[in-house]
Amino acid sequence: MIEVSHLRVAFGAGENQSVAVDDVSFSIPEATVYGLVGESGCGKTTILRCLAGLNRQWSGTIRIAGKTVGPVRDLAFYRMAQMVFQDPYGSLHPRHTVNTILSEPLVVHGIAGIGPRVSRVLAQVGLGESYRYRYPHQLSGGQRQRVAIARALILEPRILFLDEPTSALDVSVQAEVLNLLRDIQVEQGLTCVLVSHDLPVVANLCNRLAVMNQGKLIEELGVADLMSARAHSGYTQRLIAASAGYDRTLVGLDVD
Amino acid sequence: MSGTTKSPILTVEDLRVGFPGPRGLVEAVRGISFEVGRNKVGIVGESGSGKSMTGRAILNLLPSGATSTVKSMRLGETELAGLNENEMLGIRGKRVSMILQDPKYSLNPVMRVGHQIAEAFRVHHRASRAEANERALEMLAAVRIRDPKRVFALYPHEVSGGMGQRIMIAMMLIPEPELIIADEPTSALDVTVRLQVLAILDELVTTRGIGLMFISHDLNLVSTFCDEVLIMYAGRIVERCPAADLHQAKHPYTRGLLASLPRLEDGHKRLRVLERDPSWRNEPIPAEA
Repeated sequence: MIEVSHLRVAFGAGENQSVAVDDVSFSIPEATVYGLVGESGCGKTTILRCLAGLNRQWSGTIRIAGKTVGPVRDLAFYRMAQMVFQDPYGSLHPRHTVNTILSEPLVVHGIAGIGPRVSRVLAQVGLGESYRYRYPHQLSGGQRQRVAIARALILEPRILFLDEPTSALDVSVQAEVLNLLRDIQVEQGLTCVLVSHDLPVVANLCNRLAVMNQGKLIEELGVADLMSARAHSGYTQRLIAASAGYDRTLVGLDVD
Repeated sequence: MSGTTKSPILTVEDLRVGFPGPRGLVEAVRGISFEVGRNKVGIVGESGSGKSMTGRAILNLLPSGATSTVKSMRLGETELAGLNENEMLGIRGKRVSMILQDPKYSLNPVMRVGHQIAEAFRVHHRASRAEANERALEMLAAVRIRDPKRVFALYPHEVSGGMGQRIMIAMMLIPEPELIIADEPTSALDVTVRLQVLAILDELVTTRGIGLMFISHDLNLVSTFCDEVLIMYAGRIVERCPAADLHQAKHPYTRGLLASLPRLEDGHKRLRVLERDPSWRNEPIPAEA
């Protein structure tokens, strides 16, 4: 469904140039969830933004649904691929009601039957009709992220890009959102790309994942390998160990 | 825990923090009591549970509009309740210091980090500039910065997040406080850097016999880092236990939180969703363990 080969992204020019993504290739089969994992600055979000067409400065080849795509995408592309952002406080318009927020993609794409579609998608994400005319500030963090997911789903896309969809949420709310994402993904056979620094979250949603460090793809793992901590590279092993919590014996103190 | 609370550094009794509003007082912290000894006490809770307000109330650094009352808040021999702003200045930084979440926002962007650390020392101790700079360099070395002289002269934007947080720790420790309140000190850091910062904090707090109040939303981290854990829900402490026993917690809220955490080894297993019971808000608070 998604094929990326020799993707390279660099910011700046000349001496100040920094390579954010360095010769990365991977492919994602249809109806699977693919994780991009790494620490801040490793290039994982940059890759996602290239896939979603939000970042236009890249070289290499990206094929989505069998077609090679360029930096600029057309409307049909966004009908097929939608994105959910990290922070529902920032990604929803504060002065639009849930109804307006959810109708807008339909208006943009010229799709009829807005009313019933909004009701259907609200039910799908577990929010009732009573939430339809509320403003974002009248919703909790989890409910807001449900609205953001509903906005992505209302166009019935085949691909969903998820950028840290639960990292701004409390753990109990995170559980609800993760369960919801899994249900929707299975039900609709969506292809998802999940960017996260949280390995347990990745283990919960993904079928396969790529570990990145300093712009390079270090290794690819299946979820079974991640669950049993079978990683080849030392870096991935360190990430897995660090996600288990604090262990005084694991840490060397002399670091800069 | 009896061994560590023999001579508590901080004793708080019946602390309340509220925000007066048009519909009456909204209480963020509703009557909590706890002690911090020469150990690491974790305060865990979800957003809005009152954990940060608890930390801020101790230093009287509440947002404007908030009111707090406390029956008694003793730091060693000193009663903090009822101190005026001037007297609090002698407590803040000198005897109790605070480390906040993101070093980007807590360091002065137009001042070299070394001078900021030295300033923290000179505010509380009579010392010449040269002497304070000397101490700042020692402190930078103590937080495991390899080249203290070079880092001393850097500005905050020139240091990484992990180094920034170590500089914050240096600044907070230089006046030799008795208690440190760390509010989500590592949430803005990457996981591998987080462990290094925690290890440094752990070492310094333990060797110097400083009490640490560690406020966090991360159950896993608190259960592995702290000695004792207090779990807050809706402004009250619903459970307290030794950190190592957190996974055998009894309160349904704590158990629900633990069950809703995704675990690496569980893979795609469906997560349990926390069902909140209204009775948790008002049931009796467990006594000091």
